[in-house]
Amino acid sequence: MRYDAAIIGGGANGLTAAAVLTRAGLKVLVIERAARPGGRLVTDEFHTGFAASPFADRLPAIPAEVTAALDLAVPLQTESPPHDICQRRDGALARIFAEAKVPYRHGLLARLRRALMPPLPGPAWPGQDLAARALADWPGLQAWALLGRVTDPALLGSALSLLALAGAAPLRGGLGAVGEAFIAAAASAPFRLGLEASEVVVESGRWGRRAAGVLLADGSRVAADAVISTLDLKRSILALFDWASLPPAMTTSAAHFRMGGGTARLLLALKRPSGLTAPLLLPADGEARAAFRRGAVPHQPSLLIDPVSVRDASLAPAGGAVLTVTMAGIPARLFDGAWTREKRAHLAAAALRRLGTALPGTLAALDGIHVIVPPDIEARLGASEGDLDGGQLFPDQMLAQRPGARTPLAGFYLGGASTAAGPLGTGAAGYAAALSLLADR
Amino acid sequence: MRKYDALVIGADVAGLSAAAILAGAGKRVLVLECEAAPPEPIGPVYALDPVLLSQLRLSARGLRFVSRDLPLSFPEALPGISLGRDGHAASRALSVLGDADAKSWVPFRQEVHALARQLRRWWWSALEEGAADWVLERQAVKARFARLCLTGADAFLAAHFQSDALIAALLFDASAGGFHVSEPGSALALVWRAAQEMAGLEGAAAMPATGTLLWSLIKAAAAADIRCCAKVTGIVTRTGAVTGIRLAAGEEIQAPLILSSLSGGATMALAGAPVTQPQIGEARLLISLREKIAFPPARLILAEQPGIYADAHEAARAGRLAAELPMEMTAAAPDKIAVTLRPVPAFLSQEDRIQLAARAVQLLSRQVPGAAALVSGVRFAVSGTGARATLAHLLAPSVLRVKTNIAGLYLCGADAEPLACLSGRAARIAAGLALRDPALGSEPTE
Repeated sequence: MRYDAAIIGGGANGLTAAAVLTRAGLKVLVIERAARPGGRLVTDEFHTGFAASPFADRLPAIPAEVTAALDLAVPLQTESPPHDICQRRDGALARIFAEAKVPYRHGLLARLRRALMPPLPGPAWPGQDLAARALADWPGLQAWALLGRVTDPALLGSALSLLALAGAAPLRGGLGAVGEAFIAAAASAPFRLGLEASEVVVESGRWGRRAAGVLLADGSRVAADAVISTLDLKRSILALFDWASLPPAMTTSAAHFRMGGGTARLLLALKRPSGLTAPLLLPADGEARAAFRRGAVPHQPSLLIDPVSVRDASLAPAGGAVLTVTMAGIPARLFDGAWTREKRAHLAAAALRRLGTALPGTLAALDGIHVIVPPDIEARLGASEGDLDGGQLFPDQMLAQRPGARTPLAGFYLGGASTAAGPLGTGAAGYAAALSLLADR
Repeated sequence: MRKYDALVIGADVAGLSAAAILAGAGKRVLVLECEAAPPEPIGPVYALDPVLLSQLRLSARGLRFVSRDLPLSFPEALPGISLGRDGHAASRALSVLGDADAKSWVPFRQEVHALARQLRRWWWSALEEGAADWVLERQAVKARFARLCLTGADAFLAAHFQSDALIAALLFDASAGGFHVSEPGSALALVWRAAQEMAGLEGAAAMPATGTLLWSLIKAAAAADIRCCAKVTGIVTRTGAVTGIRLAAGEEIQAPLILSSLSGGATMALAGAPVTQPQIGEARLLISLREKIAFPPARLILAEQPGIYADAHEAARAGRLAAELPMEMTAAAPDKIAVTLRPVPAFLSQEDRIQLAARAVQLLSRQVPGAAALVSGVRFAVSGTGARATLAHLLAPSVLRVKTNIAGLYLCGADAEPLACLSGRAARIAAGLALRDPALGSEPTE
């Protein structure tokens, strides 16, 4: 059977794309290597009776256009950033979605026309001005913009991470509840679970090469007219293709794309509430930054302590509490080898030391602990170097400088975190990819 | 040109096994699951089908067991009596209860297993329709079966044993499938359990390590499409044959074959038959604890008197919970205890569930002092068996239990077995029949 589109990855982006495409009447297949769809939108029981979302507690807001297209009804507590930031982000998203709706032709005629009449440079991107500003100008938002990211707030351009502010938090059931809403929206798309996509099949046609399907890990082949990859740029380009079948510019730019990474998390199960009611940031010092550059486990990591069970009581049993600790600047690869059990314990101990000083008495109530380091995120989600943003949020890798949904290979679309829409909103990248695919048909 | 050769309702153990076999045979299969993800099974696996295990290569795909070949045990004396495969060891253990019971154990096992050996033909050659005739035409066997068909499980056990505690523990297996333990023919349920014990590769009961059963089945069924949040609201039939299913969203999916892991009653109700509400069910709970506890690797049966089965059965028929319920406890992990309670009403209100959980925790803390303080969560699953287990059902060949009177519609769930069993055997038989179904050959798949 031939599908109209094969979607690699069953996370928020993949599910959004599946929902949009099936609603447009296309035959779609979602390929997910885990046992359940949802991607990072999961809630796990990390200690008996205590649950938390392992990879993040908050999300970038779901764009209004996506909510409307998918009929999502998720009760989210949204701590919206100031109006001007929201406006820039929504403006950038609107521009991405508008461009996605304009058809793009890969044919010879269209290529000739473009060669003769190159498109005029468009107006400046909304939010582009942030590239010249530092995060330090927004002290109130610093904690959230730095969440798990390796950015010096004094650096010019660091303000761009404000566009990717994760301010939406589910009120009940953790991120898994949001995931279920996305799965319900994509209910009419079939999934292949437990199977990894190993290669995108490229066929040569009369007008050039185009993606023609996906090869799965068990050797079977899914024939499709188009392929959307919701993996990050590195995996989409460098892992899914025979390099020789791609235009060299595509592989080179993917190779040069820099991943940020550096997030580690501790999920703590407490026997009694910690007394903390609002998130607490313990910023990094020079030692932590030096350790990151060296590729060593820091002694004083920056911590963002979030009492998630205060907001979402379903995560902890009665009387208990769940704290999550998000650490930034944790090297994905250590200079002296792998993330062994000892190094994880060493990191957890360093974080708990800081936490114990800031919140006296918390350690005595500690019941269970779960440590997540960047390789865990890479192994479970397939995010290169454990980077949930799909790449560093630096001026040369944001907005127009990020890859769009369309690629030089006809029929192959990027709908993952590495695209321009990726960090700006949950499901936005998948939505843009689906719109582009529909426009180009 | 059609999209799918077969549709499977439910992505549980049975549904995924059936999908894996069909997809492995090159058929295009779609599994429809009403939850957002395939649900994690709770509790021990009874007699996991060895053919299925090898055919789907579940061990190579990551299936691991916490404990296998779980003996039946009950806490009459400390540290409890454990009845495993070794008849002499069991007999020694039973000597606490008196010499008579200890002596009766081995003859009882021999009698039950001799009959079970006759039933084996049903397990292995399940695709033959005449298997039952073959068994019943042998005179010696026929006379013994005929006697059991008129005997209640409690009377059968009372004829062998004197101790109430032992009888009560053994009755737990006979009460599976909604049987009343005094009902004529319920004695055959004990034989059926013995047959499961003989045929199941991991013994009568084994506890899979958390998540590995589901994961290995998903890997095995990876070639099948799965749709989540897809609630089936109807099975579309035309002139007595299946043509497809209808989903809650109004969408219709066409296929010549449907395998349902729902109960027979629920499946036929989807096909338009009058809805028969199941009355008797069993409840499965998973109690999570904050700390690891020492729990013997056994199926611990908590039922003090044989009388509580009849009381619980009558209460369940009336739709309420009895004051005392038989229950089985098994360690699912060092800090998780799986509890099965039966018979209970097929539909339990929230208050009933809380009450059941409270009772299970109370009895757990009687076995493991202090466990009540460690409980951090309880997960629940209720299955309604619809009291379908009758004598005729027990003796019917598997083919007839799996088939329905609608062409192309097969039952593959635990309910297609006469006794509650997560074995996947019904799924294997249903998938085997479906592959031979003439409807498959008529039209090529797209």
